[in-house]
Amino acid sequence: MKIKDGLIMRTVMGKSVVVATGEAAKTFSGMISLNGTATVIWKGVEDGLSDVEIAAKLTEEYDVTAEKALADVQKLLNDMRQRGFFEE
Amino acid sequence: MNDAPNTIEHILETDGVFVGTTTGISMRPLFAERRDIIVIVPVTGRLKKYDVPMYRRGNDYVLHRIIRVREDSYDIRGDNCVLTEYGIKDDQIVGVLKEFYRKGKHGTVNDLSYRLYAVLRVATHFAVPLRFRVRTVLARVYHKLKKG
Repeated sequence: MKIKDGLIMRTVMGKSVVVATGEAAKTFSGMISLNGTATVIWKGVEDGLSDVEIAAKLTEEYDVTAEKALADVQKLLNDMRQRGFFEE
Repeated sequence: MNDAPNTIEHILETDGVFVGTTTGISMRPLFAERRDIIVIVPVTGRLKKYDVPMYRRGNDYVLHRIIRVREDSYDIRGDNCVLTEYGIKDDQIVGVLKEFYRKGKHGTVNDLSYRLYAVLRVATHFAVPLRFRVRTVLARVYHKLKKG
């Protein structure tokens, strides 16, 4: 999984947001706000982690079972895939 | 993950900040199209000279610089523009530039370097049409040399 070139996450005034720049800005407009969980997942994808590894990071940060964390990660990754956030 | 609705006004109201990129060339050299990221916050009170508001022009959002504050409006101009827009009212303004990422590097409107740039840019506005003319002449010379 690789995030599409030009989709950049920034922390602005305490919020994590994703903005499209460059070629990606021709397809995506506006901004996407990420909550805490989504931020961890996005960073995990940026760092090249697998879904299992990202889920492990979630369990370190939140009081959540490994199974629930993995389910949440996979759900969000699927959502991101459907929105065209990954290089295909 | 929450998708923000399309209007910047709504995003500013609910999130307190809008983050996006710029389109067009009107704010060069500060911002290049789709390269840089701008951080817009809601306006509280009247704006000042050199502030960069985001305002509505019909259905479009415009991000240009205030060059003069009048009693009930602003004179506004893009850093790379020749023409000035007069009579921009407070109720047209949806937000104001607070921070940015220019070529990936973070900056704020309070940075000394930015403030110097803003003052100099406005002060040397007379050079903008001159730069256009020089560029046009140079381009013509280049094409002539290339042909012959």
